[in-house]
Amino acid sequence: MHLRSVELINWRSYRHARFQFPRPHGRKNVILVMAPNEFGKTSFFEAITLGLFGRDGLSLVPRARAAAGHDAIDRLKASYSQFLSNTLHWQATASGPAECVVNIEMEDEDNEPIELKRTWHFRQDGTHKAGDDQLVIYEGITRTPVAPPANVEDRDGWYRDWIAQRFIHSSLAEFFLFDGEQVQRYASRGMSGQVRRGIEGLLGLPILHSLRDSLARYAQNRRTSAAAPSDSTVKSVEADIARIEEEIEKNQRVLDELDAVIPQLEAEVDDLTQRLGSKGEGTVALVSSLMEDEQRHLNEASRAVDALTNLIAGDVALGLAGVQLRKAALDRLEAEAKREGWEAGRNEGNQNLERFTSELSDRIGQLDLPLGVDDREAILDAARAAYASLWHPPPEGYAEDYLHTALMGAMRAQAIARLEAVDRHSGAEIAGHAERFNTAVATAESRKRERLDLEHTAPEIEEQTERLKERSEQLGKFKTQHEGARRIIDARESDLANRRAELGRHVSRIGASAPALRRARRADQFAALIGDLLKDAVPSEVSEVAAEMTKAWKSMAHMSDRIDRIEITPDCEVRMLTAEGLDVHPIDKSAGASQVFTQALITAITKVSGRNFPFVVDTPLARLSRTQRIGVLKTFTDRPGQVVLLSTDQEVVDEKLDAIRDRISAAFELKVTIDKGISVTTVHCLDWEQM
Amino acid sequence: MARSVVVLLRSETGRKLVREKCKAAGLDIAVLEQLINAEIDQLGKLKKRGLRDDFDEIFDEMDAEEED
Repeated sequence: MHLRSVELINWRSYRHARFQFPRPHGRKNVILVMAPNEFGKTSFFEAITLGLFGRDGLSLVPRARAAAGHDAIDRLKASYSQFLSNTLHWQATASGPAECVVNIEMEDEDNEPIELKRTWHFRQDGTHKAGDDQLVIYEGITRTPVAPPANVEDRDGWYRDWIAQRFIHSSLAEFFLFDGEQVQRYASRGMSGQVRRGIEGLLGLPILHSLRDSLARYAQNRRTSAAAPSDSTVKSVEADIARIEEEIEKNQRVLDELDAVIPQLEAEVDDLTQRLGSKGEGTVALVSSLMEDEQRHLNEASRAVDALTNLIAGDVALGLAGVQLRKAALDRLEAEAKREGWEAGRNEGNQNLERFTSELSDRIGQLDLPLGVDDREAILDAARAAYASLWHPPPEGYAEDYLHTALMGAMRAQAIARLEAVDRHSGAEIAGHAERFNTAVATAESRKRERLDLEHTAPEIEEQTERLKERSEQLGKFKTQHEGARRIIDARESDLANRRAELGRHVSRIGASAPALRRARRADQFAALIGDLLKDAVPSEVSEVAAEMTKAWKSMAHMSDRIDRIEITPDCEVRMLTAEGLDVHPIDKSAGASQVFTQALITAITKVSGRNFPFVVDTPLARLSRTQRIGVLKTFTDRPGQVVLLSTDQEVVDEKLDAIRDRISAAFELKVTIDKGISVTTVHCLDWEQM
Repeated sequence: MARSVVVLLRSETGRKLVREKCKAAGLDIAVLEQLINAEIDQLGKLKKRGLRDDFDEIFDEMDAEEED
């Protein structure tokens, strides 16, 4: 398979250019493109790479790669679209949105043409319109369009697959399409790293490396996004639930027991209450009350008897004396009382008479009256008589004398009161006392009988009452316990509901996170599988690669006198062996030797791959000695397939050119002109035989 | 597509190796190829947008098939 032509439109400095390559024939398989730096060699290389592989080829483009350290994985410093935004020729958008085109014509081993035409569209500001890219493939002389079947959804994938199968896969492409910088990057990895990377590229394993990294990041992301509650959190909630359930169960047992006992107690209490009620509630108290009542009535009867006795003993005799006698006696006593009163007044007056007459005598004596002693005596006697007249006549109804001399003063008054009281007594009063006595005695007797009647059942009642009291207390206690247990259950059930809801949330979150965690586990499994594959896949190719490397090395390095063969261990350790089996590794650490080793590896990989694909090399000879350059050029060109060699105008000249002259089938020179201040690269065929 | 890029899956010996490894790991080689295809779709992209969704879909489908 070889390149027939490459057409560039608006591609970087190429306004419109077309490279037409002859079919390789015999030893003539080399296309030489020469130009000073910055004249468009690398742009041409990029056009072929991206034209063939599109986005997949970006990692092969030196200007799209970030600087990588030793053994570091190549990283892109720009996206495909960002990179493309710099590819459009500066004059392209002068009249509006523009497009650039890379049209690659190839010819397969059956001389059937294949045309790939990629078109990228750009806005007026030169930015790439991602998503508008077009790829058109024609196959055969009839230019039959190659397109995915209608049922294929992933058209890009289908085209990628088609290109990989028809040409080479992108992992292998870096060994067919490379530049001097890429060689240096490889060389910096160390021999073992280079060999591993080479064999992995041969087997298409870089994508597995990338996939393993993606899976690892994916697994981490899914685990992070799951953010499920920890086991300890869930267990803590579960323990709380178990504890609460146990507490509820314990209290429920208490409740059940009380529910069984309380109705019995209530029934018993009801029964006792009913039984005691039927016999008079508080019978014992009633007996006691009856007893007290009985006693009270007996006391009343006693008092009635006393009253009657007193009456009989005292007033009845006076009563029996009759009213007349009592009146006569009362009158006499009252008359004597009057007399006593009169006498008392008179006597008291007499006691003051002498003080009166003495006072009067003095006062008369002070009067200026012609009174003699007699006169004065007469006056005093008159005064005495007048004074004495105050007590005469005696009060009406006074006694002439005292008949009841023992009854003087208060005693007489009492006797009078007594006699007057007797008049207030009556037969009814006596009858009343008698009635009162009889009633009290009868009532007391009634109470006694009632009491005696009750006293028959009192011990049983007392026992029942005691039992009722005990049962009531017990019932109260049980009901309190029942309420307490119920309260605890209610409270705990609320707690339980909360904790279960919490557990539910946790479980829900775990459930929700389960798919994410399961996906993470799957990713881990496949990442581990890929790691295992990467470890075991490489050794299968080492011996064949080692053999081809030996050939290339001997051809390029001119050290065949020292290195007899290159051996590669399954771990990709490289041994550079002399004919005597001496490992001269490490090889000369000069930059040139390292690059020779790398180019030997590249050569080996392309040969082991068995793919007949154009070998496009951009400026590969930097840092090499003259001899090495010749060796590398010879080795690179010594292959059946087409070689497109992009060289500075100083690289492949003189003896180096002579070394491959017989292989050159066409040569081109790139020139730059300035159009309105913008560089424009043009392509010119060279008469290489005259070079 | 995976076989076009990963030569290991295309060659007889390489595919045998992969099949044995998958069997030992209890994984389906077809799922591995799906994952490779998803990764290939991301080639040339700075950010692998959509790759996680692709993985989700592949793993979910795998689990669903296993449950069946």
